Amino acid sequence: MVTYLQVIISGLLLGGVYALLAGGLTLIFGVMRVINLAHGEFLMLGAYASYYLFMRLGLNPIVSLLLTLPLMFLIGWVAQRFLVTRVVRAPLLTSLLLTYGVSLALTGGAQALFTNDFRSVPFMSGAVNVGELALSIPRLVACGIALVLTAAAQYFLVRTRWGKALRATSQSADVALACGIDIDRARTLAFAIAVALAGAAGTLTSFLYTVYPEMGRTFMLKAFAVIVLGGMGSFPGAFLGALALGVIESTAGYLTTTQVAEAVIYVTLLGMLLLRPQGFFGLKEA
Amino acid sequence: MSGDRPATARAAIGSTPAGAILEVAGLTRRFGGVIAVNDVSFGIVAGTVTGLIGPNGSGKSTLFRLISAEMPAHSGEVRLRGQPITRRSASEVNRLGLGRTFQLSRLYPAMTATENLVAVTRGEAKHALERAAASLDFVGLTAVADEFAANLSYGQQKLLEFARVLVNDPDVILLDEPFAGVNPVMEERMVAHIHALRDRGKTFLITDHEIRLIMALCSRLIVLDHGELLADGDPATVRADARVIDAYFGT
Amino acid sequence: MAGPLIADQRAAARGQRIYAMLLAVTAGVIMVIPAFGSNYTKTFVMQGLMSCALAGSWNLISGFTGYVSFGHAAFFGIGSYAAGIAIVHGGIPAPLAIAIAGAAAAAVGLTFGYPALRLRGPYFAVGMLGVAEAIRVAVTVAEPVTGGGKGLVLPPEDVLDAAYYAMLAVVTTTVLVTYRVATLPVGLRLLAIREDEVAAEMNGIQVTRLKLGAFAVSALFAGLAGGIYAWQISYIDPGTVFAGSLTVRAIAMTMLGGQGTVFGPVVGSILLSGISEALWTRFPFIHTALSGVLIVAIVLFLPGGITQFLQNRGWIPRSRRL
Repeated sequence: MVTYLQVIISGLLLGGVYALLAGGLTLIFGVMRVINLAHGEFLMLGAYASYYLFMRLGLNPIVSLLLTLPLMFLIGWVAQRFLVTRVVRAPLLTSLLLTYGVSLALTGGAQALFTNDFRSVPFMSGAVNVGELALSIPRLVACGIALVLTAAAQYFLVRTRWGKALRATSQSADVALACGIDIDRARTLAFAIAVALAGAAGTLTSFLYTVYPEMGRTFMLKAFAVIVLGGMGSFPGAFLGALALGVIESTAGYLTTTQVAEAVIYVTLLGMLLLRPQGFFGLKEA
Repeated sequence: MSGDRPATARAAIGSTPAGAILEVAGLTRRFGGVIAVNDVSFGIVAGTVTGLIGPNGSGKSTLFRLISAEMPAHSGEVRLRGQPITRRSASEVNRLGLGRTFQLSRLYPAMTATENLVAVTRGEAKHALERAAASLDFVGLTAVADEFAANLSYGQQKLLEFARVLVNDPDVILLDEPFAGVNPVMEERMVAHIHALRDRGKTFLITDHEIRLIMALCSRLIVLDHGELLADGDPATVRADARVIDAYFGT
Repeated sequence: MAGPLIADQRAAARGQRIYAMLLAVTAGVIMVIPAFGSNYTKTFVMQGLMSCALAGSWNLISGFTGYVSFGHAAFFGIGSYAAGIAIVHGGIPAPLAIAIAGAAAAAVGLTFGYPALRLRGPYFAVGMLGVAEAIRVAVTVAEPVTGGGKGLVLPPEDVLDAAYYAMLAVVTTTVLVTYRVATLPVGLRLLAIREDEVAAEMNGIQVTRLKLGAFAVSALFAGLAGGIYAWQISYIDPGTVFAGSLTVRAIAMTMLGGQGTVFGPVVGSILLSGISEALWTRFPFIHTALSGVLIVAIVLFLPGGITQFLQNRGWIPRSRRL
């Protein structure tokens, strides 16, 4: 019983970090109907940023978040203004291919600049005992930060003027446009925020997992599973989907092997697509 | 809102004449809690033009979608030449001889006018081009046969969609707002085409908001309001019907 | 069906002749390479042919119907493993094993295609990505049969020339089938699905059957290519034959040449293979990054591909035969 509780909790902790990555992915999809295949690579960039800030300047990842967040926001802004905005109205394939090109360019760039070596940030370790449960400190901290950022993003979306503009664009770009919302600005904002969140997720993963140029791929696939679970385009849905996926993954990993756990994730993704493609909170029309 | 209507008023309308080619029996469709089409029944005779009218949101488009099997009905049945088609796929219904157009033309934009027709033409491939050409000729679009559908004017697109329905020679043709946004010249041409086809034995069911045109074109009008049949009869009778006037102009 | 907008019909006809001649010359060169070329050249061209087979087969489903499959590598991988397992465990002769590879891929295509093709747009794209990953993991887990992550070793044979011609045959067949499809109403029906699936269905096009058929044929050719690859390379592992980059190369090549056209994937794969090889030898360290930049450039500057670019300029006719 205690063991299983342990498994559930580590799943939820994992889910917190997934939520950060998937939240951005779903935001981009909602506002632009674009599937950002480079999302995992933005995570990778965030991870390398905090790795180098830690190794060169000795900044711990939590502090360096204050630098990586605005930096990644800026990268996202530029990527949207110069690239993604040009394919928003194009057929699905065009934006898929464009973001895949960006993904390859970033992975390849990282391989050339940072080499293929596996790296890690030796920051925090150990566990705290709560009753009979042993909770990993770095995971608790990562999940805590992820929750704070997700809550901040949700607050922004629900409470602020620009957040509302963003959600309106997500509901219907035409109506938003008719209501005088600058949808180009809303889209740019959405992409920049999404990339910033992905970068933050990268910072958190930098001290949980190994950092290497191709690390984004697995995370991106998991983020896909998350947003399909939660409903593509729904930010709160992505949060719940992330927690669900975290629990599914850690349960499957506990019961079988890591590889099978990975397969379980994809099977979940497919099953969900077939049974309820709009997810639990998804937009009606894709 | 509609529940207080006397039952006797409904019994008189929605009649199914003997030998009807298209019959709708007790068709019902809900969206969530809203009943878009409620227990609608009627039948139409071959070689006639029937108008389906009603205020916005009265269920005309939904009824079209149910008849053409674009979406399933929750209850009721549609019969074509006496054969139930309710459980069939939209593609099968079309193959059985029921064609339809859409409120907003749904052409294949990156294909030429000819290709739009050839794509859907059944039968031997070698005759497809001839049949497409004949259909384009009938609606007067031969001059733009090799133009991409996306480059056609709004009225031409409506005509092309009409030609695309005709290319497989269906017996029953459903036209969803064929006159909306069409200029008077095109309007006249469309009316002429419909009359010519009716005289060849084709059966039409047409919705439109151009009441003037519908009155002139149709020998029978069916009025929907809040998803229910409100009136049914020849244009003069329907125009004089107090309930119809009420539904259109009342509060 | 020659199209409109051609300012100068003669220029277009000349363009078409040049286009056809270039393709014929390329085909001729490819035919005689095994007789004169070095092993390096043969391997390089064979790689190009393999890419072309993948691009051409991807084009059959995604280029025509618009159902963007991001899991095409799955069929290549299935083909590789089906042939590999047939040869290693079954002792089946290579030609038969390759046929099995194609059949297995087509069968898997039908199995997954039936549910997956009900999904629209982004859901299908993501779904097929999931299918490919799930199959890759399944193959990795099934270690007793597949060798797992360590891969599967086939009896080494020097079959480069034979494999070369086999791959060429697959490419040729793919192009011929595409040509046949494109010049018959069935090609227009597939395009109609891409243009407006509801309007296709409502006009009596048997959408489900056509999509599934195109998907199975597409998987068949990808599977055959995978089988030939496994036979020739004699070592396969999940990471290589299920690599997502195989899918994306196929997509990029088709986009570059022109999706939903007959020769687009051929033109695209010749160009991209050439460019990629040139980049690889000169800039091995930033090869991946440059491929990425190249893809971005294609999307931004040649979204309709070379075929459409030439057609817009009136240099080749707007014919579905191209």
